[in-house]
Amino acid sequence: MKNNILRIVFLCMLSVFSVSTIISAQTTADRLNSAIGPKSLKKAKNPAWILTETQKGYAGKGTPISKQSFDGSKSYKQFNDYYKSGLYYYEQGMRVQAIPYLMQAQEMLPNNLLLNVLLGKTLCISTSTRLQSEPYLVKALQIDSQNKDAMMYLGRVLLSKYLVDSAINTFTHCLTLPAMDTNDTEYVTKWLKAAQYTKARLKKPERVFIDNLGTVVNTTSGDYASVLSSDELTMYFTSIRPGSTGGKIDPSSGYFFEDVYKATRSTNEDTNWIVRNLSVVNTDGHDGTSGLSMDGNRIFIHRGIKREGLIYTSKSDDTTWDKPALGNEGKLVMTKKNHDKTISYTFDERTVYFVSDREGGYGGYDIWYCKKDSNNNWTEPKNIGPVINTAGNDMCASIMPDGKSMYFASDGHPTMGGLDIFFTMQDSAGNWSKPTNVGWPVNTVENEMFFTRTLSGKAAYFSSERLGGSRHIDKTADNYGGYDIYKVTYLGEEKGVITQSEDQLIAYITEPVGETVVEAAATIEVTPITLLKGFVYDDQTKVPLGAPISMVDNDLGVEIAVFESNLKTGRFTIALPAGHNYGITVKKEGYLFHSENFDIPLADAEYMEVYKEFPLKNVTVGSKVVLRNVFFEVDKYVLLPASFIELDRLVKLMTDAPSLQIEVSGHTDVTGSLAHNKTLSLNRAHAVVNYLVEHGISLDRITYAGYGPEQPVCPDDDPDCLKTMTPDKIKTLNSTTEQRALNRRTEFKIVGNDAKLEIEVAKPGN
Amino acid sequence: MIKIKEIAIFTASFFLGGFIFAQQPSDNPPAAEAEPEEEVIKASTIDEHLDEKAYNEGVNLLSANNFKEAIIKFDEAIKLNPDYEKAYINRASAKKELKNLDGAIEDFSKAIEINPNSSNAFFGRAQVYYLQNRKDDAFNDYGSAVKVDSTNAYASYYHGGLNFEKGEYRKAIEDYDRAIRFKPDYVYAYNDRGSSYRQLDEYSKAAADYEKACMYDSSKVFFFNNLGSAYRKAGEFDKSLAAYNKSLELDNKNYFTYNLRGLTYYEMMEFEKAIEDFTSCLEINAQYGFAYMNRGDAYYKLFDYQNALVNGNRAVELMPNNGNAYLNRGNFREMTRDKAGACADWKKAVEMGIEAAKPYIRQCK
Repeated sequence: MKNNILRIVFLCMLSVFSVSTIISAQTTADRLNSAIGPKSLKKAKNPAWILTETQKGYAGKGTPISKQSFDGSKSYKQFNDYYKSGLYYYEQGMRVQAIPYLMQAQEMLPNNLLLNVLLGKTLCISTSTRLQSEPYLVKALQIDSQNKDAMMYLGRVLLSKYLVDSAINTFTHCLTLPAMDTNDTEYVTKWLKAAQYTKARLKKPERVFIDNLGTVVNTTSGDYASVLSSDELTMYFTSIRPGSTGGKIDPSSGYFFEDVYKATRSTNEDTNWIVRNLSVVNTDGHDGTSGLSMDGNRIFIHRGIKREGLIYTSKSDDTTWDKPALGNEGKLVMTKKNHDKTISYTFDERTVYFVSDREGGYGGYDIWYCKKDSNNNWTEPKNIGPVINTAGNDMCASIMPDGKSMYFASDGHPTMGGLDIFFTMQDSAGNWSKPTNVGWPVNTVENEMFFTRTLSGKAAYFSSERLGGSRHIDKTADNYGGYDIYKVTYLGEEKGVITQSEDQLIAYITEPVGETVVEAAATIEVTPITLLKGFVYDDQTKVPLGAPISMVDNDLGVEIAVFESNLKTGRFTIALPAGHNYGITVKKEGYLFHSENFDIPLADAEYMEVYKEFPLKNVTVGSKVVLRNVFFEVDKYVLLPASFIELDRLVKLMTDAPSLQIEVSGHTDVTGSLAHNKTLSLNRAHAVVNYLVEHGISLDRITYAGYGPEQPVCPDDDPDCLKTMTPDKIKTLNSTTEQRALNRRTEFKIVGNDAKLEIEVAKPGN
Repeated sequence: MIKIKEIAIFTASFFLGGFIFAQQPSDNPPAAEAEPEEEVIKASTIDEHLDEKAYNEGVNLLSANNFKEAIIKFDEAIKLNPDYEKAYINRASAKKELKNLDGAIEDFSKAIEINPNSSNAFFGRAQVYYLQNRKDDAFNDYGSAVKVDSTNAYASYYHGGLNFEKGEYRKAIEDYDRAIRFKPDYVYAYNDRGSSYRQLDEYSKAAADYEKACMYDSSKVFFFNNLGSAYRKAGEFDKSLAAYNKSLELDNKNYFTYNLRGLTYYEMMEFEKAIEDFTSCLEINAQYGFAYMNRGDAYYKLFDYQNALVNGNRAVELMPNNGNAYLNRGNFREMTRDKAGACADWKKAVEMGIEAAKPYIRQCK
């Protein structure tokens, strides 16, 4: 059991911690002379790879390892150098370094059981070299037809070749071998189940297209852990390609240290990526992508050396990235002694999911989470629970914008082999659903990880070690070596086809009557998403401003996101589900807050972009702010509860700036009598004043007025005013209706600010 | 006076030509009346019965398919006896055979004028109206034939047929019920009533009627095909296959049957067997577009999209006006990553009235 866990840990080390591409044996052989010699290493043996007594006995089977098997002492000496070096690296678990020595030794003594078993196993462990292991394993079985080691790894090879029935038979036969110990049985049982599961899943492929992102993104080395901006035009990923910062090779894996790369393209259908090393965030050690904030302005980077990992954060101003620093998340969520890898925030950034093998888990890597408390501090990490986490590895959590749908990778749930991608959803009570395997051909018999679905839901990106392309094993998509990054295109439910036939239903009519059977039309699932792109700037100087922004879903009455516009560019991007009414408020020290209210209508289009500007006014006498999120019932002046969030902001503004004096004014459109409208608007302004007074603001600081329709912001007779008032995609009403909606408003004007105090603006989340 | 017994072969003439009988049924109007040799009674005083003599000569000529000469004799009889109802009826029959449909209608109408209770005259005129595609008139005349003689099983049967054509399946069933009441072995009525039930999705009743038709006449391929289809619709696939197998025993070159049996395998999700049957169908009739369409569907179900597309292309070639073929090919093209082609096909299908394609077009924006 212990050995088996260690075997898994070793696999994780290969495929997770550094996710290193196992370069081909031939390439490795070329490195033979430059490889670090065994004498220079003082490492402890890797328990998973220490030869058992049974395996030691293999040395004497077939052509035995002995001087007598060689013609002369010189060739035996050379053999012995290769053999001992290979065995040394093997027992250290340094697989890549072991391969060339074992190959040389096997070439000199091709009919020895131990060499064939060791070489077969060592090559089989990695996807990139697995198929090369087959002749050695077959040779081992020719020498000893009941050899458990050769047989179980041969089963693994057969599964990689999608010879599923043969793999099942081989694993099944393995289980009958008397030499099998508990660990062997556990290993074979696991792969037998994987083969059986594979057989079932292959019969019902998911309706997706899988595309390799191409040879600019993917190389013959490992490329993985992609995270994409909301508009899918920018991608950050990890690669161990040559050219790594520092140019060093990680001695524990034999491959270059990880670096973060940035890929860009002009449209989200474009396959011509431009890739560059994001050198500002990279070091000589491991630097890997762990996550990206929803607004694309912060990238989370995993840095790890010697199996220690921390999450660093780098901020962007759209053109450059800061040097990564250990942010709150890194300090509070992560601990240095654990190997925290990926991080995924909910839409409102009030919950973060991350992966860790810390104490208190269910085994291997687990998914954990932290929430922000009322003081904006992260709570202690909690394990997401046994529905998701298993005794195996559960990792690469990626939470969707809805905050309740999650994809993750696991080898503890039923998989086709290795790590597969799973989906789970949290219900309103906070319970996660039983994870479902997302199926073939996203998942394969090899490892799949780092799955993120796009905002529109139409696509996803993930990393896979599938043996695709030129290797002609897996037809789903190419693979250029090790982990590659792939795109999934979802086709939705199977579209019904129509069958037709003819029967001679009426005896006296020779013409048969046709029958058409129409399958139920496929439901085209559409989750309309609107990308709101905004620009915050000083209304007078037009200088871009970085400012905290609060987004409230007025239909749900909750604040759904708090974020900031970019400090240098003033820009921000946020994805919003369509079909809701939103209030958005931008606050900035020294400025009056700016609020807007708008609908994002449900539209046929699954995805659309809206652009909106937020000019902030200085806190100067005469400045006006329209309270777009203050609501009354039609023709009444009782405040609706949806108004309170906005009014509380005004209370806070007045509290923070005690010298501020304001006039609250009500305005109507032109419909109805003037007298009625003036009374209504006065009453509405008074209702706002009452709210402010009830919340501690002195009446001495407030005046109010009802102007009725006398001060329109967009007069009915000025059809062009709308062009400057609203982004054209947000509203769908006709122009007169829209204009009148704009004119119906409550606003306040600064009428006094003698102390000229700077206004302290609430921090996000307050 | 010895009266020559009239030879009433008019109804027999209905199937001499012109009608589109699928099978020449024993169930067509009374065959016994179409045997003139047995019916003739020789006249003792011929001169006293010149009209009847001419009439009988006309009947013999009519029986010999000598229609022109028969008409001359019926003309003589009518000249001698202007109210000779049956001479009008038989002359109408002869005219119908000579494609003089208006003339036939005129004569049937005259017979009805002479005898408004002549079920045969109404029936005969209805058949001619049907040939002229004046289905409402035919429907009314069949109705009149039944009204004046409710035991006229044939009139009820054809009245039911027109109700069926109008989609009035429940009324058709009433007609077939009546036909069967007065002719309990009326196999076509069983078949057609079964088809009416089938159209009403009452498959067990449909199958029961088809079973009856097959029992009374086990030589009709289309009875077994209908039975197989009813069982397929009822989800009784084994019985469906058994019926089609019986049909193929009767005629192993019937491409309809292979297509139909293929659909049963398709419903059973045995797509490989379905493909075999569609292929057999196409080996017999390589121009049968439905089989290409269905074979494409079966490949689609097997995720073999390239072969699905090959068949989908052929279906469109053979049936360029079939919107369903475009919808299907659109699906195949989508799966072979030809999104533009798929969208073009779905759009075409929608233009051709295929509602099922509408939601797919949304993906094309």
